[in-house]
Amino acid sequence: MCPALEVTDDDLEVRMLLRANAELNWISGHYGEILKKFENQFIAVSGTNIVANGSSIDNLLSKLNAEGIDIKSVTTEYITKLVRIL
Amino acid sequence: MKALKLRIPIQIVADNENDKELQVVVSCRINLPHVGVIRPTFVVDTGSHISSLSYADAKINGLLVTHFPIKTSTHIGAADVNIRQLPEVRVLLVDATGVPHRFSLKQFCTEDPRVGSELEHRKAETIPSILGLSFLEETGLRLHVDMKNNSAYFEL
Repeated sequence: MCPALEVTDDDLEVRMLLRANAELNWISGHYGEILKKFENQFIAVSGTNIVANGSSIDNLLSKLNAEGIDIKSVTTEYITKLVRIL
Repeated sequence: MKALKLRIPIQIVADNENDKELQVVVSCRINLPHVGVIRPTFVVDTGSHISSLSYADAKINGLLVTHFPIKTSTHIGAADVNIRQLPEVRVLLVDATGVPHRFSLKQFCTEDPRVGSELEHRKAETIPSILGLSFLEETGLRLHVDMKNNSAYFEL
């Protein structure tokens, strides 16, 4: 076993991660339609709703702040039609 | 008797509008110095040794990246960035049975644009957070990806 590994029992942490996974899946499944509206923008997703968008991270953060939405409660994604090669 | 293996599911998702162009991603929670717990999504990139919190995720979570020492400079995608060494962080992942597991990472980095122009900042913002080979090396996790059957997981 890896010495860095330990098991915890924190339901809240698990729920947050499962929610993030569901939001990622939703973005992936709706990428085409999201792209039509938000190409080259950052979006913030909560559940199955796009709650903010912005042309830059600063712009997105301003909008989330204005709406009183905690950035840590949403999944953010940059929407582009370009293929990502790292 | 065979020991039970720990399996942490990860996702294969569309990278853009063409759902045949896919990437392997994983959501996790990280306890960051000066910031607290954040919830970034990482692209799993075995072409990179470095594991790094993106400039965008650092900004989103209010991490002042310039506080941390520059380890090296490189190109990621089209962006010219400084790679900055973070202090040891704790990463939480959830296994297939819903049990959370925490891993300590000493080689975890963040990044910022090496050149201060608006264009370079814009390029750097579009780079995702990356889990590279250093993550597999430090955690001992093995990566399994079966593109044909849309299955991916870490295993220990």
